Amino acid sequence: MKFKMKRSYLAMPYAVYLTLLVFVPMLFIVYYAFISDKTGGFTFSNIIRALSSSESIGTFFYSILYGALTTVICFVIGYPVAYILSQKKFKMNKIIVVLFIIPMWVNFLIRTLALKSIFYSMGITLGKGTALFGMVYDFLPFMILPIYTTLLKVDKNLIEASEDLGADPRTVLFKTILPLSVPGIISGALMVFMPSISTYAITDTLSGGKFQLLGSLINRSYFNNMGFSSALAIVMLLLIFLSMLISYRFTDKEELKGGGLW
Amino acid sequence: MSNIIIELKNVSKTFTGGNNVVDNISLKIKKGEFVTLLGPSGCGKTTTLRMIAGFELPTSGDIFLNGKSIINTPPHLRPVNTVFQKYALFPNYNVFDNIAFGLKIKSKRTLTEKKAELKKTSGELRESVKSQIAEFKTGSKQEIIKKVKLALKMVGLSDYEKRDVNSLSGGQQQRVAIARALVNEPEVLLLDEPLGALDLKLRKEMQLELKEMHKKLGITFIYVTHDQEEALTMSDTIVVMKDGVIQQVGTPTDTYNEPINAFVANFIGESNIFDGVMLEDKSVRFDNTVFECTDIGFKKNEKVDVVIRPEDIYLMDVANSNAHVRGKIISSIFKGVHYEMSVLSENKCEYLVQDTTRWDVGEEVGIFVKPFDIHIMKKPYTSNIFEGVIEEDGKVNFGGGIFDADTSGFAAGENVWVKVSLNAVDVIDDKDRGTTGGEVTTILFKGTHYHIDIKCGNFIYHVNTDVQWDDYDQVGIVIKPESIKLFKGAEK
Repeated sequence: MKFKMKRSYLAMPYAVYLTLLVFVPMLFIVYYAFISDKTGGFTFSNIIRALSSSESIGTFFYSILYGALTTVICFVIGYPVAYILSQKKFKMNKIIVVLFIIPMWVNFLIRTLALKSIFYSMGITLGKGTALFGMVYDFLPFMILPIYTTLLKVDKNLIEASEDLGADPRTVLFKTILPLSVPGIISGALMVFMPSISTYAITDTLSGGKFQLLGSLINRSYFNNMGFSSALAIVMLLLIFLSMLISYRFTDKEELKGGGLW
Repeated sequence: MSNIIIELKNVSKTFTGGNNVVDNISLKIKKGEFVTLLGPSGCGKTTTLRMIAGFELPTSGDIFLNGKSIINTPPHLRPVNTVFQKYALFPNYNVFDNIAFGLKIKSKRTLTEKKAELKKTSGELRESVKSQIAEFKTGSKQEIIKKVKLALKMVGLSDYEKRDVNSLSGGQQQRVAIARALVNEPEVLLLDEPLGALDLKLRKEMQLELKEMHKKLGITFIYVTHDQEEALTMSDTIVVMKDGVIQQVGTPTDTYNEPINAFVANFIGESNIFDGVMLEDKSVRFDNTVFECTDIGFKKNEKVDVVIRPEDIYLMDVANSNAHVRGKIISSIFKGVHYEMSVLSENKCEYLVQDTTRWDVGEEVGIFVKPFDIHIMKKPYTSNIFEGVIEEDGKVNFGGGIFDADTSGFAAGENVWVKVSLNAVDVIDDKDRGTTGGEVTTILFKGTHYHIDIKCGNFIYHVNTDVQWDDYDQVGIVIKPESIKLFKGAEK
């Protein structure tokens, strides 16, 4: 039989990759979440513990709180930066964008360790504050870039129309530019929020063991209770799925879609 | 009280890079007038409009609104509103919120002012100010709803309040844009080619509607377009612009019947434009034939532009002794109301003729023109004049390039006047091979040859050529050394 090339065959390597490295491990996680570590039999106890034990609930709370805090801080710092960069009048913008990207060339673990030594040398005790600082520091570029690209695409005519209708510079910013950059803000927020609720490298390195987020808890419990750890992982997955679902509702409008990075 | 609402005084605009987009224009616009800025793209009409709106600052000159300079007023404080070419509706708001945008901002501003007043007042008066604020809050909301509904009704879009602006057709979006501007009751409405994106039929409909609105509202309209027909249909006054300079200001009838120069004649309606020589009063020679005309006051043998509208040329039997010239039909196209024909005369000059009688290609005809249908115009220029400087022996720098020329009698570094006749400029299609180069901006067909303008940076070359170039063609310029005439007396 003659082999006939089809366009869909080009997707094959990725399909294999996806099945072997994402889908199958996911099945394992789901499987282990319902298997008792002690007896090896089917059980709901892992899921129940992940949803009800004070340790996991506390961690969920902290994860969402610190994920949200990181996102908000990144937004507050990142939006003005992205806005200034997107202005044509500002001649240095290309250089500044590169300056924001360069730290990303360095492995983030190394960056985090470097941050830790800086804190040591300055005599700052590690804790929640330093962990939050580290998260903001590591994830800030993910907030700036999508907002920056959306702001670049904002129709200058709309800004002029806004001015023309009587909006002073402040009103133009809040009534026209900000609403139009919502798609970028949402991608940015997701790209900061998702990794920050699941990170464990940053919190482990920079919190001095004083508190843990979901990622750390999953990482730690994996070695003594794989079932519990898998159940936690599933809950986190649902959490991320939920946040994407919510964000998708905001980008429902046709013309707003495709803003930002994805 | 003067009835001038907008006045531009010696306004110029130069963008970075040294391009003079608007060059020293002065213009007075009366209250309630419908003024159209008309010209080909790149003539500075949109920049002029944007300067009135406040989006661009003039490099020099001043703009007055009701006698007061508004140069330093930012756009949001100017009592003018703009209808943008590409509508510029806010995609994140529905129709109602788009139209209410300006009103809401205005009411919010009044509210903040009243609250500031409240902070200052004390005692018994406080209560009255407070109730005033409460009253204003409810009142303004009702008022906004009322005004938006009225504006929507005016543009024929009642009951469209809740619609998403992206679900509207181009024509409907344009109507919303017009309503959004008019609802603020501006003193002047600026319209930047608002109908450019609509199809022909809708455009004609909207033209009449806009004219109707203008009549009803009595607001001053300043309208920008490159469509001469649109300008003729709608305006009270047409301002014809070219290369950042106003060519003519007048009523539609005046600009059509009495164009001031060959460019305006060519741009407004179709025309035959010929190079002619004024022999004496009421007598002009072109196409190697002497015609009787009605113009007087020209110098003897002065070179002039002769303009004849195609509908003013009469074709007759070739044997008719009244015919001024004879020729042969080289093309004949049916245009609905009339036939449009090209006639090549015995002296190889082409006439464009519109007639309701059909003549076939190849037929011999006589051409007749009535004296008062021959319009004589002064030539704005008869040769290219530049200021230049002698670079070294045999080289002179002018018009954006260094040309070889006979410089005997001039010293290096000396400033000179340079004169080059229109026929002496050679145009080549490789911009980089020319001594200098630029872009073709204006093309006039003159019956036997083309007259084109080439813009090289800030210099404009006027050229007669047999070759048909297109707008925006990038061309090089070469001039033979013996055709460059130098004169002393240029200032530093």
